[in-house]
Amino acid sequence: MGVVPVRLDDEELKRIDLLVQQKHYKSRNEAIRQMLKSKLSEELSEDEDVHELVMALLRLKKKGRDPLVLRLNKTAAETVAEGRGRWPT
Amino acid sequence: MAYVDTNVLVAAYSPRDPLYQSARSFLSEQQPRKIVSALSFAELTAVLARVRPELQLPEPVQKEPFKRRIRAAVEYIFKDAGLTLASQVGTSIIHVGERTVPIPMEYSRAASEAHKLRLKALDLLHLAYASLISRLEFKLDLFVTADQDILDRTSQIEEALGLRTMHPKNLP
Repeated sequence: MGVVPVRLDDEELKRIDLLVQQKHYKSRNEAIRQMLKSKLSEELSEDEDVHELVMALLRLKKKGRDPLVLRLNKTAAETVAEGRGRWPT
Repeated sequence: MAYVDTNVLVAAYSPRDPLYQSARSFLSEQQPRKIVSALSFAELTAVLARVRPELQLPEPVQKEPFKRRIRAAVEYIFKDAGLTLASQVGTSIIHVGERTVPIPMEYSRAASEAHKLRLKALDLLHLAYASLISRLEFKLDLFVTADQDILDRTSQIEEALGLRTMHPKNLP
């Protein structure tokens, strides 16, 4: 485990201390580590770069075509409600 | 500004749907600005993946691997419908048993309103997202949905979250 000295301004420190006082974290150290851990996990996205495909679809739309059509057997409300764990009432 | 529920987005791309015209016309207007959440992104992706044989895309996209096809379809809908994806709202800290855990703020908001609204989890989460987005990022006037369970609780939702819910057919 490494040590990284970090400068924080008074307002940030006050907010961290408040969280420690309220027992959300045991110490400043734990608070900062948890926040950093949460932020770093954001960077691990598995997103796909589909820019070219989307542009191709938008070009077709510009030419007057509907490039994306859903031929659902149920209504949109039923289809989405089904995914929410129930049929619409 | 209006939060758009996923069923309205799906209806706007389903020509056989009874809501097709009203959803389409709502999304084609510049105003109100249409806002969606990270949950909308995930839910729309899940819907398109589930209805795979019913999703028609043109040749070049149809040849792509399924994951890329669905991802492109979602992004196309976001761009075509002029949707603004709200940022992640933040975290709340909760104490559960011996642990103090940061959880997405929408979850704590949904949990705190569950007893008043008595909705299914995803309905409640959409409303929690909209309520927090309205407070922290974009001031929302409307929550547009075709979900009858949500529409049946219009007054409770307005009282608890300050959001006016509306069916796309009843939009001014």
